[in-house]
Formats: sequence, structure tokens, C-alpha cells
Amino acid sequence: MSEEQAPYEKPNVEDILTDDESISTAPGTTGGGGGGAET
Amino acid sequence: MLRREESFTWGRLLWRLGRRPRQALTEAPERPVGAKLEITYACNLRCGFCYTDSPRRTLQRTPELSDDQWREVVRQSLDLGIVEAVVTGGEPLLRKDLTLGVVEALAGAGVGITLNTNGWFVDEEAARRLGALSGVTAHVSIDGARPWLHDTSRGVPGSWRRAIEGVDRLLSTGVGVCAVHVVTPDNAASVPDFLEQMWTLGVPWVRVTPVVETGAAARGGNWRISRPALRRVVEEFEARRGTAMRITLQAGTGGGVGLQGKVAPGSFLVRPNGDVRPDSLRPFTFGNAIRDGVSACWKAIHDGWNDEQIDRWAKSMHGSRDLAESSLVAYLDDEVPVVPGVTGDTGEGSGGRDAPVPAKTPPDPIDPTRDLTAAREKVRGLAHTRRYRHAPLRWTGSRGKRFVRLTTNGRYLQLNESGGAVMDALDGGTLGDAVGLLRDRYGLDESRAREDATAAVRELLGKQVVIAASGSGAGFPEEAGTTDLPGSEPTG
Repeated sequence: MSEEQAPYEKPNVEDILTDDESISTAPGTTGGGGGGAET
Repeated sequence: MLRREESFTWGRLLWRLGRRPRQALTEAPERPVGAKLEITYACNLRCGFCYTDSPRRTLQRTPELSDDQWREVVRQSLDLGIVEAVVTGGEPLLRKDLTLGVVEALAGAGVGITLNTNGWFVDEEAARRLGALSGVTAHVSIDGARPWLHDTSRGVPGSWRRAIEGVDRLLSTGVGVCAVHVVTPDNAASVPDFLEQMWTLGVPWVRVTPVVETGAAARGGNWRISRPALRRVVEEFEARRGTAMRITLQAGTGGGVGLQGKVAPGSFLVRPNGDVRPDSLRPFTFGNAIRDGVSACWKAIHDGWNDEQIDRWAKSMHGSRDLAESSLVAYLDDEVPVVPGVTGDTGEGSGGRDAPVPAKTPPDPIDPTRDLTAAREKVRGLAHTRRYRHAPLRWTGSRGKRFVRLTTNGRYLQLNESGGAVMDALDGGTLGDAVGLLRDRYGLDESRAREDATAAVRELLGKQVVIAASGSGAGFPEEAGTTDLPGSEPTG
């Protein structure tokens, strides 16, 4: 393993980005309904 | 995930408690949901437990429908509105052009299809034509982790190799594959190794089933296995490998055959000579598809279901063994025509109970360890050289974390660094390339690299990040659902 190589982790593939995590509902976004109050 | 289909006894109990098994319909549909088409009697193998008794039919050269007649049956079945079909035999690919044409016609109409085959005749052309279709799952029979086990079970030397190579060709063109393992006392001990091989080979779905005791199996033989032991084997595999490979542990004996009740079935079966039955287990005919028309036969099932002789037969089924010990056994005895005016003149000939089933010379036993090692190497060799490509997608991110959007279904995925590396290796590459990459980049030993790369490729395939390089991308049906079609018992 080369020096700059990160420690090995088993390959992982997972689903992400539920509505809560989507940029369409992130704080500061006016769209996406139900994203919560802007701060 | 292990899906336990209803056992015979459990299904009967549920029925009595008013909770009908999943397969049962609460009311008879006016139009059929599905059709099971037995394209041919003939088979090139000699399985001693064949539930359709195909070896006997093969030797007797029993006449069957012509290609044009089968195409007419398919046309009429589509007109009736079926949404699901099982194309089977015998070995349907013995009539390859007809069978592929039938599958293409059904798939073109949007019907979900199970093609039962022993894999022997799955050549490049068959795999390519099936891979171009959507909604097709090939159920390929593989009985054991060692060639000798399978070849003696199937009665023909070389049949394990042909089955495995057939599965590989189907996976290479993106066809959904279910490996069907008929478990007997002779091969039960190899089921753990079998599951490992299917995992390595990249098979998405495995169906493990006991012998269905009709046809040749009803003549005798020791077919009984321990279902709890089999369930433990599956659970141990899933604890080790997860549930990315779907495993169905099947009741196998037709489950609710004794649960006939008053509700007509939702599907029908067409025998190779055109005779129409409700399903594989009930040896009663309701006319002939060519002589009477499919619609008239379906109406005969629908209207004539509450027939006294069927009811009497069904009520004699108190346990799965009764299928074989009844005075009327499916595929062994002459079928009984039910409805006057739409009578089945089977023309199949009889003598099923007394007809011997000569086996082809089985291969000589060889050292089990050497046999298993050779099988593992064969499977690994096929799995490691199958080529993949990316599905339509976009991705971004840093080296340590990658974000992927699949443009076909809009799903978002996150991959860690090694996951991204395997994904890159499969853009035109193989599992073998991914193994080499993990080994060289991260200093893994060969065994660990194989383990992790195989699991990663299965994940990437399951989530449709990568697809078979030679496939159309039409995709494996997520819910093939074919075991739900009443009468779609496993291929023999």
C-alpha cells in the first residue's frame, strides 16, 4: 500500500439523499416544501 | 432474503383459520392471470425425479403441437389478457426457434415470463435474443456444487458444465437468472457449497426445492429431505453473505393442492398436445386449446371447477406424499377429462406407471474433493471474465467519497473509495480486473480481494450501477413473481 493511500475499507455502495438531505430542501432554499424555516 | 413459501400443512391450517395463502385467489377471475405453456414433452436429460415424466415421453416420441399451433395458442392466450407466463417443457429449448419466438411474442406484449430450462441449449444466439427482452427470468436447473452430483441427478454426463455455461451466457447478456436446485438426500450436503458457487457466479436468485412427487418421482425413490436443516443452511449463508442474493426455499410439493375450495384458479396450463389443465398438480383436462380454443377451455375451467371428481381427488390430499400415492397422479396416469362437450382426448397414451425410464450411463464417481475444486475453479473462471459496463449515470465527489445519480431511475448512491475503484474497474472491465485492483492498490491478499470484489460487484449490479457489457440494459425484473403463478412448480 502506498504511503498516501487511505486505510482500506471494504467497498461500500449505499443509497443516499433522502428528502431531508437533498439540496432542494436544505436551509436557505425556498423550494422543496417542508424544508423548515430559513435561518 | 429468505422467503419461506407456505408449507403444505401450514397452508392448510391458515386456510382453515381464514387466512388464505398468498397464492390463493379470493374469487375466480373472469379472465386468466397467467398461462403455463409446456412447449414439448421431450428432454435431453434423464432425471429420475422428473415431475413431468419427460424421459418417458421422449422415448415414446409422443406427438405434440406444431410451431404454428403453438403460435396460435400464444395469440389466443394474449387475447385473453394474461399478464404472466411460464414457458417450460420437457426442455423447451429443444424447440429453440419456436420457444424463443414464443418468449419474444409474450415479452413484446408486456407479459412477465419465466423460462424453465436445463441450460444445455443456451447458446450465444439464445442468450442474445433473451437479453434483448424485458421481463424475462430464466430458471436454470443446477443440482449441486459438484459436477458428479448434478450429472448423476440429471442422468447425463456433462450436464453440469452445460448448465453453468448457460447461466454465464445468460448473465453476460443481462438476462435475469434463477438457479433452481432440486434437493434430494444425495445432494443435500452440498447445498452450502452450491450457494457459495451461485454467489461467486453472480446469480441474482436461487430457488431451493424438494422433489415434486408427481411424474417419474411418483414411481418411487427416496426424495425426502429435512426442511428445517435446509432452512438452517440458508440462514447460515445469509448471515455470512447478506441477502443480496435472493433465496427462495420452496415447499415444492404444490402446497395448497388440497385447498381447492370453491374458487377456480387464476391461470391455466397447456400441455404439449394442446390439452388444457388448471395447473401441474391436478391431472384433469378441460378441453384442448387447438380443437376447442383457449377461451372455451378457460371458460370450462371457470365454470366447471366445482366438479365432483376434482373435489373428491383434492380432498384426498392430506399431505404432500398423497400426490404420489393417489390412484390418480399427475403426469403418471392418464388425465381425466372433466367437462362434457369440451372433453380432452389426450392422445398421450398411457402406461405411465409401468414404463421404465432408462437412464443414460452416469459418469464414473470421482474424488469428491477434486470434483469440488474443479467446479469452484470453473465457476470462478466464468465469473472473473464476464465483462460489465456502467449503466447510464453521472457521478461526482472526491477520491474518498463518490456520489452517483442513476439516470434511468433517479436513485442517488454514495460509494466509499474502494467502492468507487471497483466501479471504475467495471467500466468495460471484469470481476477479475476488480480483484486485481483491490489486491494491488490496497495490498490485500488474493483471497480477501476476491471476497470483497465479488461482494462489491454484486452490490453494484443489484443497485444497477453496472450492467452486463453485452446486455441491452433492459434489466432484471425486481419482482419476478413467477412462483406466485399457480401451478408454476419448479422445472424438473
